[in-house]
Formats: sequence, structure tokens, C-alpha cells
Amino acid sequence: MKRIIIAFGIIILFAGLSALSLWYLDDIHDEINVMLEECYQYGVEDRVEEAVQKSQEVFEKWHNSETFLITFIHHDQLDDITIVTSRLAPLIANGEKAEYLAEVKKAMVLVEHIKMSEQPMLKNIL
Amino acid sequence: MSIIFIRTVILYIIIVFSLRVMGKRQLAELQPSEFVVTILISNVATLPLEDVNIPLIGGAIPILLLVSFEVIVSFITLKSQKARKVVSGSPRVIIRDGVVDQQEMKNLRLSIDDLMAQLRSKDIFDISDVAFAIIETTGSLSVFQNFDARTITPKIMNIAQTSVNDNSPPVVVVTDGVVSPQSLQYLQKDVAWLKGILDTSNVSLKDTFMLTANRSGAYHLIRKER
Repeated sequence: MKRIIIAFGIIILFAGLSALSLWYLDDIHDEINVMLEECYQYGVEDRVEEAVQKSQEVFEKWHNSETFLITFIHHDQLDDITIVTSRLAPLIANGEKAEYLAEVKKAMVLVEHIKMSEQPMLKNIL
Repeated sequence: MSIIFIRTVILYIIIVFSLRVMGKRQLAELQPSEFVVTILISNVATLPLEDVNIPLIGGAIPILLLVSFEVIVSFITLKSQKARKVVSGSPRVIIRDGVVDQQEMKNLRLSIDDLMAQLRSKDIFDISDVAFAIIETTGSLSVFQNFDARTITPKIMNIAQTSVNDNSPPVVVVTDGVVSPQSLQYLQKDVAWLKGILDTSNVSLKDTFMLTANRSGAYHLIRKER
């Protein structure tokens, strides 16, 4: 009987953790997406200082959230976003506007991709 | 390298815990579903060890979940005969009253060589000695021999049990110099009895590799090699 309780406990625990991970990922995706949209807007409008500051915030936000994300997401996927976000501030600070905007879009796509690839959808399960 | 080292330790602990939760069975006695789970666990466990980019939880969760499902399915099959039949199947009689059921062997994809190998593993070299043979759900063969081929037992010879201790097996009392109190309790003996044996054999406790004994007081002592 003890084994059954342990078994059910494990299943419930992991079901809960799965739900929590999805919720957290969704939350981070929304936050980072908003910040990246702002980065993009500042870049388009040539508001360099704000773009640099926002880019640094994006990198720090991502870096902090990576601590938990790394426990359940493939490290390579997270590393890609870390590398891209680390490039944003130097790019815009050095006047590389076109590349900056491209990298911002790339970061948005990568974050979206991670979120979608963790969703329990048929295409991900199959 | 340190990451692989730590991961290996953690996964080892998880696997040992998982196997404890699954319960004690020998490999040959596993039901098909248990066998599949055991193989899956070993394969899944290697993934986070081979690739450190894979989160450790990518190995831990499948292992623990597989074991949990196995425990639950085992519980259900314990309570429900129908479920047992679906999950584990039923034993199949392949030799009945000395006659080999060739159709059943075809159904089981069991060749004559397989059958003879299994019989030989039970020290049966003559198929005509077999009255009944059953393939269990684990794939092992259980055999009931013809009367004249069976091992002689005290019951057949009408030999009466001489002592109530005849049904109690010998137990290990001393292992590598360490006394087992539970064994002494089972034998209904005490430390003084043990000391007497050691003194008679001129061996000290720390020089004792192994000592087994039964309730009748018969013992077997092995000294440690120097």
C-alpha cells in the first residue's frame, strides 16, 4: 500500500511540476517579449540610450530566469537566447542598428519557439 | 567531467530508489511489462549522462514515472484477474498428459530446440519423463514429471519427520566476524552457544568468515583466509 501511495505521490508531484513549469515559461515569455518589443521600438526610433538600457535589462532578466528554466529545457536552446541577448546592448551602442533589430527579432522568435516547443500539443508529443 | 560524476551519483540513487519501489523480483521472473520498464529505465538513465545539455530531470522524471505506473499497474493486476490477463497473459500448457501441444507451441513461437533447452535447464533430458509442462507468463517453463521420473521424497518413501527442526533451514549466524542477532533468535540460541562453538573450533569471532547453523545445532564454520 505504501508503494501505491508513493507512486501516486510521484505522479501528482510531476504533474504539478509540469503545470508549474508551463506557467513559469509562459510568464517569462510574456515579460521578455514585452521587453524585446520595447527594444525593437527604441531601435527603430533611434533611441539608443534607452535601447541599450532595455537590452541590458532583457539580458539580466533572461539570465536570472535561466536558473529555473535550465532544469527542464534543453541547455542548447537556452544558450542560443543567452548569446543573442548578450549581443543586443553592444550592437545598438555601436550603431549597428540593422543587425540589432535583426537580433531582437531573432531573440523574440527563439523565446517563442521555446515556449511553443514545451506546450503539450500533439505535434510536440509526436 | 565533474557534472557527469555528480549526475551519475544522483541517477544511481534515483535508480536504486526506483527499484526499491518496484519491489524484489529476479530478472527471470519479471512479467513482460516489468521487463520492458526495467530496460527502459536503463536506457533513459543514460541520456542525461551521455549529453550534459539534457536536463537531469529529463532522465529522472521518466524513470520515476515509469516505476510509478508499473507499481500502479501491478496493484491493479493483483486485484483484477481480467487486468492480469490483459497485461501479463495466461500460462499456456504445452505438454499435457505427456503429449506435446504442437499448435500451442506454434502460437507461442516456441521451437523444439527452445523447449528442449528449457527442459534440460531443469535437468530433464527425456521428454517422455514429462507429464505436464506449462509456459508461465514470465516465459519460464514449469514442469510436472511423470511419477516414475520424479525425485524420491521422504513422503514417497514414507519416511517420517524426526524432528520439528527438519523444516527449518540453516541460517547465517556470523558474516565476516559480525554476529547476526536475528539469526541467533531464530535458532533459539544465545551468544554463549556461539562462543562454545568457536572455542571448540579454536577460532575467534574476528577470524570467522562465515558460520551457518540450523535449529538442531548442526553448524558449518569457515575460517578467514590469512
